[in-house]
Order: sequence, then C-alpha cells, then structure tokens
Amino acid sequence: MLLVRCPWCGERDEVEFSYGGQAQVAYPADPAAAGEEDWSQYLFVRDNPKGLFRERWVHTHGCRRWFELERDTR
Amino acid sequence: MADLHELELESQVIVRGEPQPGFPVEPNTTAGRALWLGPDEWLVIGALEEDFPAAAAAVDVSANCVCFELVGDDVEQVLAQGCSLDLHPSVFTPGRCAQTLLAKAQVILHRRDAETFRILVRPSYAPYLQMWLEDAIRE
Amino acid sequence: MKFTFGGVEYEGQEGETLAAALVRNGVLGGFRSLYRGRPRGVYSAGEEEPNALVQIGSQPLQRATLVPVEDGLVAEPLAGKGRLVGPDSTRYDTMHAHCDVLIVGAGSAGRGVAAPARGRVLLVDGMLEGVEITLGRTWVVGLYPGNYALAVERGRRLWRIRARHVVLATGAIERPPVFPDNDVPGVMLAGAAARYGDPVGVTPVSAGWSPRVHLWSQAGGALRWDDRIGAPVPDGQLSGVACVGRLTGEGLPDAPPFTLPGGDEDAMFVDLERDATVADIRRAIGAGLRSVEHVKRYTSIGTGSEQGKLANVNAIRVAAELLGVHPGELGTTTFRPPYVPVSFAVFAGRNRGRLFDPVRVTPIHPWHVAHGAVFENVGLWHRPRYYPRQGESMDDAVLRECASARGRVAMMDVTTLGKIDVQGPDAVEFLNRIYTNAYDTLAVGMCRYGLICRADGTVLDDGVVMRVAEERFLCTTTTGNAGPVLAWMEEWLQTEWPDLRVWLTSVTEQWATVAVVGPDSRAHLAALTEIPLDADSFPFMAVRQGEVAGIPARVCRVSFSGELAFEVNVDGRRGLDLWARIYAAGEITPYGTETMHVLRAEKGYPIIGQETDGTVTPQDLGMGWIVSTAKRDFVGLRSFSRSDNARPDRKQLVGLLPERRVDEGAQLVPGPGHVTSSYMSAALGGPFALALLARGRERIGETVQADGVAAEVVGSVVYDKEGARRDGRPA
Repeated sequence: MLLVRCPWCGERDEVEFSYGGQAQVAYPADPAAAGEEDWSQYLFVRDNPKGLFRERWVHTHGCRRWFELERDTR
Repeated sequence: MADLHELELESQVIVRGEPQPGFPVEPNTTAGRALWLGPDEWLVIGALEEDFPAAAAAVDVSANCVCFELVGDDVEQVLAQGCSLDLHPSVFTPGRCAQTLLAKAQVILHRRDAETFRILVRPSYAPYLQMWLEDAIRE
Repeated sequence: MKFTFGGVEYEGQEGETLAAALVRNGVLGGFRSLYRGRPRGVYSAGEEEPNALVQIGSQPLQRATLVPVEDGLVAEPLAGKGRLVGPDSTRYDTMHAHCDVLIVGAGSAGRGVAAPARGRVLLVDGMLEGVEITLGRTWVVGLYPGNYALAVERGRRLWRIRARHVVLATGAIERPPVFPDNDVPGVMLAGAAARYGDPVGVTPVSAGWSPRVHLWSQAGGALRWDDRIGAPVPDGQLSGVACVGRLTGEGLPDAPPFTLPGGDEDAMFVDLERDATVADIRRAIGAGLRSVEHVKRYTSIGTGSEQGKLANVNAIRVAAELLGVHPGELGTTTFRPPYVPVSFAVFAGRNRGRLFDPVRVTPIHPWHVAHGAVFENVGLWHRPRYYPRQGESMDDAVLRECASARGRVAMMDVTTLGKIDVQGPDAVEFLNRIYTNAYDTLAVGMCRYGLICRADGTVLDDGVVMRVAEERFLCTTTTGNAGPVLAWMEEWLQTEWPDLRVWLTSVTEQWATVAVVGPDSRAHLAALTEIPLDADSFPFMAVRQGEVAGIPARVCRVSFSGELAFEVNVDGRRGLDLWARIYAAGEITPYGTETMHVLRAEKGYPIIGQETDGTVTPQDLGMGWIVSTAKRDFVGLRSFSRSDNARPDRKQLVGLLPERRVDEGAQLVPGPGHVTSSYMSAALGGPFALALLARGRERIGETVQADGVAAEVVGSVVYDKEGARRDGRPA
C-alpha cells in the first residue's frame, strides 16, 4: 500500500488514487497534421523505466485533482 | 458504545471557482458552513445556488448527499475499522474535513468536536454504510 | 483443564501451548509427514514448527506451538494438509492504526526500545502478550513501502499500520543440524527442549541461529552472509527501519562449522514440512541448477506453510557445500509476505455477506421491492429487471411489459443514469471537444444525444446533453459510467485545457428520473401536469419545467425505446412520491432493465459495454452521422483516419433473425463476429439479436451460423425503421 502525497490533501493510501501513466505526454497541438506513426506513438507508446519515473496521478476519492510525482518503480 | 443517527440537512450547494467571502482556503478545513473539497470547490450546508451570484458555478446538491452523525468517546475506534486516515484528535482536529473512503463508500468526513464526526455520503450508498457503521459500533 | 488430541484426552495447564502440553504428557510423536508419512513430533517452540500441525474445528493448519491450551480444546493431527470445515463463526475484522514507532518483537531488545520511546508506540509480538505489549499474539506478516505493516491479531483481526519508524527486534530462529534421521520424534531444537523443561526422551540439537530477517528483506533491506553465525544478517541502511538485538547477529553464538555427514542423504532432512532432503538438493544440482531460487522450485524447499524458516538457511549451506562455493555467493530466495500463514477470511474481514459490496439503490427502491420486482445488479446498483405477476416467468413478464410500452403506457425508474452539471463561459467549447457532435447550435431548452470517444477513436460512452441555460448544461451518462465519464472530463479539463472556464459537478443522485413511455404516455402525464405536452408545444428532444404530480420537475422528451416518451426529473428526495403518483394516475405498467434492453435493441440502439467493448468505433456502430464534420478537432477525431480504423473488414453492428433464440457471446460463422445482445421480441413475435460481424453491413441478406443456429443478417433496426412511432399515435 503505497503512501502517495497529494499536493492538496497530503499523504494518503494509494487506494484513494488512480494512476495516469507517464507525465508530460501532451495531446499534440495539431492532430490533423500528425502522421500515422507519430499519432500511434502518442496513443500507445509510453516509457517504462526501471527506476525513477515521472508520473501523473489523480486523487480520485479525495479532492479529484491531477498532479505529478516521481516514483522509483523498483 | 457510539451513537449513530441520520441528520437531515436543509440544503447543500457545491460552489466552484474563487473562494467566496468566509470560505476556508486551507485544504480539508471548514469555516462556518463551508467545507473545502478542492482548490476551487466547496460544499456549503444550508445555502442555495442564488446565494452565490459571484461564483463561477453554484450547483444545488441538496439531494445528492445524506448526512450521518456519529457520536461517542470510541468514535475513532469505530471509524478506524474502515478508514485509513489518522483520526487522532491532534491530527484530525475538530473543524477539519476530508474526502476519503470509509469501508467501500466514498465519503466526506467532518469532525465537529472530539467525539463527533459527520459523515456525508451519496444516498445510494447510505443503506450499506449505515449497516457497516452499526456493525462496527457493535464490535 | 482437559483437551483432546488425536481422540485421546490429556491434561493441560494454564498458560501453556498445545505443543508444550503434548510434550509434558510424553507425546513426542503423534504426527506424520506430508509425503513420506514419516513419524514426526513437536520440533520447536515457535512459528517455525514444521511437524506439529493440527486442525481445530474450522481452523486448518494451526501450529501446536502457537495454540494456547483451553479447556475442551479438540485438536486433530494433520499430515501437512488441513481441511476446510464450515461454518466458521469467527468474527474477522480490520483495524487501521497510525503510530510514531512500531516495534516488532517484545523480547528484551524490543522492550528496551519501547520503554523510553515517546509518541504513539506500538509494541507487537507474535507469541507473547502482557500489559506492556500493545498487541500481543499478533504477527506482523508484511512490511511494505512507506512503513506500512500488515499484522494479524489472534488469527482474526487484520491490523493495517502506518508507522513513521519501524524497529525490528525479531530475534533469531534456532537452526537444526543436518544428519541422517534428523526428523525422528524426540529430536528437538535445543532452545525448545529447554523451554519444555528438557523432558525425558528428547534429543536436543542445534546448529546455530538464523536471524529473522524476513521483514527487513520484505521492506527492501539488503542482506550479507555472516560467517560467524552461519546465516544472513541485515546489511546496510533502510530509511525509517532499524534493526536491534539478535536480529543483527549480536549476542548469537558462533555456529559450528558446516559439514555434510556421511550416510543416507535421503534421510537427511532439510525441509521437514516438505519432506525434502539433502538428496533432493544433490539431484537439483545434478540437473544443472545453480541458484537457490531454482533449487527451491526443484525441491520445493521453503514452499510449505512454515515457508522454510528452519529450512532455507540449511538449503543454502547444503547447496554451497555441494557446489564448492561460499554460501554468501548464493544469496537468498526472495522473502515475501505473509510471514506466517494468514487465512483468506482475515483479509475479507467484515466484507462478506450483506457487507461484501455496497448495494446501491434509488429512492424508489422500496416501491420496487413491495411490488415484487426481480432485481439484477448493474455494477453496484440493484435495479429492477422485471416485475412478474402471479405465475409469470421472466419471458412472460418481459413480453407483457414490452407490449404495454409499445401499445399503451409503461414506466421505468431510470434514476441510476449518471448526471453531470457543466457550467461556464467555455461550456460549449468544452462539450465540443469532448463529444463527437457539436453543441453550439443546441438551443436553451433542448437536448441532443451525443457520443464520447477516447483518443484512439473507440466509443467511451453515450448520453443526452441538455442545455438548461446559455452557459449551463446537464450531461447524462450510462449507469456504470457516471464516475468514469466525470473523471474523463476532469482529466482533459485539468491536464490539457486548464484555461477553459468551465466547471463540472456530479449531480447523479440530485435528480430522480421516471421514464413514462408509450403511445398513451402523453395522455397519462397530461392528467398530472399543466405543462403543455402536445407535439407542437413539446417537440422531440425538448425540455420543459413545471410541476408534475405537484412536484417541481424538469421534463425531457427523449426516448430509448423509439416510442413517444417523457423523462420526468425531480429532486431525488421526491423520487418515491413522483413514482407513486404517476403509478396511481391510471393504468400503467412498470418495466425493468430487461424490457428496456429489448425495446432499445429492436430499434438498433447500442448499449455501451454490450455492443461496445473498448475496440468499437462510431463508424463500426453505423453512427457516422453523429461525427461532426465541422469541428476542427475533438477527442477521437484524428483516430478515425488511422489505417486500422479504415479497414474494410472491421466488425460492424448488424441485426440477426435467428431460427431460435441464441446466446449472447455466440460466435458467428462465417465470421469473425459474435452476438452482443439476444432477446425475444413481442413486436416481431420471435427471437432477434444484435451482433458485431466483420463487413457486416455488406453482408445483409446472408445467413450465418450462431453457435449452430442459422440466422439471417439484417440491418440493426428491426422495428419501426422509419421512426414513425416517436411522436405517438397520429392525431
């Protein structure tokens, strides 16, 4: 049971949160101009490091705010 | 043994946007009848939508939550059976509130004083939560 | 006091364990091993006991060394396997705790830390109890990141503990030597023999001590081999976790040098509970295995309920000896929770029977119960499926309910649909980015059906968007998607479009909603309201406010059945009143989810999660008409032009007219394809189905086999294709 720090509510058990995957993967500014390969990359491909990973989380059963954190995946 | 009863609230409004005069700005605190739910979200008991003409949004949720009150010197032992927050009175001080899970229901907990918690929950979850609380009180 | 073991009555003493009582009564055997049936007896005085396993009532696999003797206790010896015996009337529950210091182990080291400690201190011990021990007879079974500990008190209460600091004072376990027939009754660990008063007939043995490093290792702590004591010890640092006392190796005697004696290696036991020997390890190494993880899996050493507490260190020493390497080079197997066996019932706690899951009900629920509704679970909601009359089967009831909905008037509780209030100057822009269709032109007081897609173009949900005011909308969602759709909307708003001035509020239970459906629905409602209901005053998809049955209401002309229909929305607290008054206003048939499914399926309306499965696009559903061509972008648009989304052999929504009713999920041949929904139709007088079939729309008119039943492929709308019934009977 990870302890996750919500920037608003402080530390809470991980069951209060939902995981949002890799952080900083922005929706492309001009999807119409994105080629097939780039668009598929945006949809389906994410990093998967063993070690520090910058992630998005949302405090689903609390304040419902999205935030980023860095987690060691090991 | 703690006492559990339902408390009828006259009305409730969700207010969004900038904090209105008198609203709590510190997370998970209350001020007057306003409860902090998020950086731009408050629940105000006993108010109406038209009370907040300057707010970005005000939504009547009077039927969207029911309120239980749990009173007793063992109130922490009751809640601790299904709540992972630190309920110690030095940590969850009177006047604080928190959105969290109680058993399998999402709730707003509001500590009124050392021995009194209010528990706000969706009406559809209320029968389950009441059953759970009564069972936890008996333990 | 008296207790029974293996059918024989013995005398017990206050405060002793079952194992101690047996030994004191001269019972040095009384057990048999799991695979080889070898006679066995009490071996230890703790949780590491590999032999003395007993069944006590409904509790299997109890260790006699941990069971306190009670008057009337009945214990049966087990040969390694327990029995599931019900009913178990034990009350299992859960408790959360927060503390400044969690001290695991109340021996002298643990008590030495506890005494001067300040703040909230939890001193926990698996075997001891007493006034200075906060949780006695409580095993800490797991230590997880963030100093989260799981502990089990007296086999029935699960403690979930969050500690700022953890001090491990778990001590060490005595290790048996390895020699032929080291498992016979009477052979006992020396410390245990001393605890039992060195009884006659006992041969005390010891090959040193192994620190209980389990929790340290679970928490991620490193280990190093300590040659002096002949076992792994905690090494390095771990944030928030400290080790004290014999756990660190200090105070433990030197281990005798390790040698493998001569003799029958098949009788030199390494894991007594698993009947695994030195011969088994030699076979593993002979088969080419070199790591302790592989040796463990090959020999099953350490996989018994005692989890190798007596076996694992010896296994490393034997393997190292046979390989000619230093034991430190082999490392250890991975330590995983739980430290001692924990029954599933402990994890279930109070979440069983009526408390297993929340059962969500609408305010109208008592009426449904009182009128004999048969319910089904839709997610956590308990919804009426049908309302059988005397002697009716489900099929009878559904046919009757459908006939009423299409022929006269019927009513349904649709309160469970998700509802989201969307307000702000950028509300239209927000809705346009989220839904596939456009909302600029939606007038105040009108509704529009909409589809939400994921970025990959697949359908997420559908619903009706109502414009309540210039900058205020109410969006409905399917029952199961109320939470997910609000979460979806918030995700885009907060992480991609934080500049949009729009706010979302869940109002799912603020409104109770009753659908009044059928050609006579207008007449039925007219008796209850002053709101003009005629087609000119109240066109399809319009919203009107007023009173219905004396209750302030918002009424929408939307239809999920294809019939003339009105959805009446009132404050949730008035829902039961509204329902009762509509019911009392004249003859009307309540109907449930089964009839609802049939009616919409006859009209080819897909249900999210039934006709969609996360891979289905609007175009697959034949709903290209709902995709706006005017909008620059919305979530999902770009993916419609992906090559995979344009494949001609994609599965498409079609109808089926089978010879007889087919099963949902039935595979279609030639396919690929499957039946998504299957019903008996009152309107058609026979069975029909909806299906997803590759190139389906091209194949209309063909016959396919659905699990052996012949079916004609037809368009997805099997009833009222022109939509003529929507406005009720012609004037």
